Amino acid sequence: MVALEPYQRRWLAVFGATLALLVSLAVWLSLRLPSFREPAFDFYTMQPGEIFSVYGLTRRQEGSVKLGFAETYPAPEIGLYGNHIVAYFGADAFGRPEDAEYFFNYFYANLSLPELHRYLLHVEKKGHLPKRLILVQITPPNADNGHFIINLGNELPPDILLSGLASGAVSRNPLSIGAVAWELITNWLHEVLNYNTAILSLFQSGGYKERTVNPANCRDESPAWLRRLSFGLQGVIGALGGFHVFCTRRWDAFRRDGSQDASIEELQTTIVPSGSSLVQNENELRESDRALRSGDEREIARQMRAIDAIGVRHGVKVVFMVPPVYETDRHDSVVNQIFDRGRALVPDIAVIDHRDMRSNPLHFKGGIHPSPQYYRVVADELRRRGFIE
Amino acid sequence: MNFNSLEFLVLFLPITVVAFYAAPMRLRLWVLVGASFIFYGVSGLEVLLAFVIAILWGYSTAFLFARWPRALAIIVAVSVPALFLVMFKYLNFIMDSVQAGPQMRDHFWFFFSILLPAGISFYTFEIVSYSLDVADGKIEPDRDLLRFTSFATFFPHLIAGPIMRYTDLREQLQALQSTQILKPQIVSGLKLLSIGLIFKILIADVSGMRVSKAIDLPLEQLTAIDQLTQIGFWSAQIYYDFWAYSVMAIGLGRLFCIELPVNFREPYLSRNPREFWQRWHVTLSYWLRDYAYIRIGGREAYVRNILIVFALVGLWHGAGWNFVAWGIYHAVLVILYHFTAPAWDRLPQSIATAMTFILVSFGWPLFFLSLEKYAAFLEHLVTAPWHAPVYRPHDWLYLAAIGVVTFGFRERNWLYNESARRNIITDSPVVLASLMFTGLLLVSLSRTFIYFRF
Repeated sequence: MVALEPYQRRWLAVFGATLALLVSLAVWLSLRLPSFREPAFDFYTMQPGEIFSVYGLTRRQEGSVKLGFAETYPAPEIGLYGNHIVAYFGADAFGRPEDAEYFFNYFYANLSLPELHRYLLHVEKKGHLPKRLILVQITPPNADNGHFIINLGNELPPDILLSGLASGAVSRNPLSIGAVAWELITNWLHEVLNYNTAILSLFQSGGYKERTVNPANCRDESPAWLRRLSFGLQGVIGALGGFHVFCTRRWDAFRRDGSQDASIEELQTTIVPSGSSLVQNENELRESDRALRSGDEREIARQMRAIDAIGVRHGVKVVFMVPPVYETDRHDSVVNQIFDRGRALVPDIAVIDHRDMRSNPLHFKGGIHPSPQYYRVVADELRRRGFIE
Repeated sequence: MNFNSLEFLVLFLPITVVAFYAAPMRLRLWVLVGASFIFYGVSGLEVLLAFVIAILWGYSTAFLFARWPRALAIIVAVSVPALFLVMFKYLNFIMDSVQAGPQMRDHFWFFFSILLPAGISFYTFEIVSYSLDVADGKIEPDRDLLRFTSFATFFPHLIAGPIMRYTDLREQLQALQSTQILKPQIVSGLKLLSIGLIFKILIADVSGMRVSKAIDLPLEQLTAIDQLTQIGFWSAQIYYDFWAYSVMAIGLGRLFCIELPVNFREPYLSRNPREFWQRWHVTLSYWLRDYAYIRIGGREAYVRNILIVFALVGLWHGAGWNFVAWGIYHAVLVILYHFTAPAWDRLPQSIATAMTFILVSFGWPLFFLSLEKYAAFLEHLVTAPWHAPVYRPHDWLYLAAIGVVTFGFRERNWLYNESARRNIITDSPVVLASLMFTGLLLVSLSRTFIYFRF
C-alpha cells in the first residue's frame, strides 16, 4: 500500500503524461522511417564504379539494405557474413573488383555468432545461400574485449529473431522463448528510443535511385550557400529543401559487392576517423569490460557447429575467419584464451585464424578494421587451403 | 545491469517498483532481494554465487563473536569476503607484481576467467563493516537473514555505493517490514534519477569523449593547452560520473522508501585537500577512517598512517600501481596541508578552492594512465608548445559551462532543496520528464559508470 500527498499525485501525473507523450512521439517517428528492406535493393543492377550512399540512414536501415538483398536475390559464389569489422573486404581481394556475382559482403552492424546463425537460417529458408563458400567472420576477441562473439548486438529485425523459433532451429523450451521475447523487446527499445532514429526520421530523404550515384560523373546540385554550412546542417537543410547531397557523402557507402571503399578519406567515416593515426591496442582489454567468461567456450563451439551445419545441409563449405587486431603481443589475453578453448572444441571446423598477424600496419585501415591489403592474404589462404580455385 | 541502460530504466525499474508496492508488507523485502539478485545475476552466475557465499558468511560468522575469542572471530569473519576480493580483483595485479609466469597463472585460470564481480569492493567493505561493528559491540548480529540480505543486496547501492553500514539501513528495512502504508518520496526520487541520468550522459560521457579526442593522438602532437584541457575534461568526467551514479542511487532508494546518504558534497568547492576527502566519496572516507585509520593508531603516527590509508584508498580504486601512486599523491597533499594549515587557511577562499581543485585535478590522469605514461604526460606538459592546439573553442566553451554548473550553483538550491523552496526548473515535472526522455534517447551513447570497475 502506498500513500501519496496531493502534490506528489499531481506532479506524478504531469511527469507521467509528459513522458508518455514524448515516448509516443519517439514511436511515431520511428514508424515514419522507411525500412529499406522491401522492396529490396538489387546490388546486381549497379554499374561498376557506382556506390550506394548510406548517408543519413540509421544502422538498422543500413543493415536492411543488405538484408533485403540477401533474402530476395540469389547469392553469389562466395558470401561473407559478419559485422562492420570486415567492411573493407571486397571482391578485389580475389582479383575481381566489384564482381558481385562472384563475391558479396553481407556485413551487417555488430552481429555476433548467434545472430549470424539466425541470419543464415533466414537466408537458408529463402533459398539464397551462396553456391560455393560461406565465409563467416568472428569478431576478434581482442577487438572488443570479447564483445559481439556470443553476446548480442541487438540489431536484427524481429521476424528474423522469430524465424529461429518458428523453424525449430532454436529450442522451444520456456527459457528460450523467454530469451527471444526479451531480445525482441530490447531490440525494439534500442531502435525506438534512439536519438539517431528520432532525428533521422525528421530529416531523411532519398530513395534507392537518388542514393545510387557514380562519384566520377555526378555533381553536387546543392546551392553554393548550402555548401558553405557545416556538414550536419547541409544534411538537414538539404533534405528539407529537396537537395540530395549523396554525391559528396560517400563515406561508408556500399560498393557493388557490398563492401565499403577503404580509400575514401573525405571528412570521416563512422568506422574509422580520418586523419588520426593508427592506434595500437585500441581496446585496453579492461577486466571490468570483458564480455567472455569461463564456460563461454562451449557456447562459441555450439554456435560454430550450428552455422557449419547449415553449410553441410546444402553441400556448401563454411569457413570461419578471425581477422587480426593492430596490437602488441596480447595473445595471452583472457578473452583470447577462452576463444582458443572454444576453437579446440571444434577441431574439425575450418577456421582462418589470423589473430597473430597483428603487427603490419599496412594490414589495417583502423585499429580493429583490416585493410583491403589484408583481405588479399585471406583470399590467398582460401586458395591455398583449397576452399576456392 | 547498468543504471544508464534502457533495459534497466524502461523494463527492470518500473516492473520492480510496481511489484514492490503491489506486494503485501511481509513480501516487500523478498521483492527487493529477488530484484537485486536479478540485477546482479545478469553479470553471471559465478559472480552471483560468490556474492551469495559472502553474504551467508558475513551473516553466520557474526554469531561467532559471542562464543569465540574476538581476534579469531574477526579473522574468520573477514577471511572469505577478503579472499574473494583478493582473488577476483587483485590476483592479476599480484601476478604482474611478482612477474609470475604462464604456468603459475594457469593454476589460477578459474579466477582469471570469471568476470570481475561488479561492485565487489563495495559489498566486501559493507559485509566487513558489519562484522567489525558486531565485534566492537556496536550492533547485535541480526537473526533475520532476509533483512541482512536486503542490506547487502539492495540494488541502488550494490554496484557503486554509497558504502552502507548496517546501522544506516536496519531501521529503514524494519520499517518496510512493519509499516502497512508506505509514503515514498516519489517526486524527489524521479527528480534525482532524471538529473543523474542526464548529467551522466551530457557531462561525464561527453567529457570522456572529448578526452578521447586527444588521448588517441601521439603525445608529440599535443600542445600544453591540449593537455590542460584534457586534465579539465578528466576532472569533469570522473567527478560527474561518480556524482551522477550517487545521485541516481539516492533517487532510486527514495522510490523504495530508503534514504541513502549523499556521497559527494560538492568536493570541488573544498578549500584544502583534507576537506576534499570529507566531501569526496564520503562513505568511503568514513569507512577508512573508522575501520583502518583509527585502528592503526590515527593521529599517533599521523604521516605513516595517512600514507597507509591513502595507499589503501588507491588500491581500493584499482588494482594497479598507478592507483597506488594516485593514493600516495593524495596522502602527500593531505600531509602537506597538515603542516601548512595555518598559512593555507589564511588564503582567500577563492584562491584556496582553486588551488585545491588544481592539485586534485593533476592527480586524475593517474586513473587512466600507467605510471610511465603519466610521467611522460607531465614531462611533455612542461616542454610542449602552447600554439596550434588540437582542441577547439567549442571544447573550451563546453568546459567553461561545466565550470559554471560546478562552481556557480549550490546543490542545496536546485538539487537537494527542500520541498518548500521549489526550483522553477529543476522541480518542474515537465522539465524533468523531458530530461528523462532525452536521457533515454541518448543512452546508447553512454558508457559504463567508472565506479563499476571497483
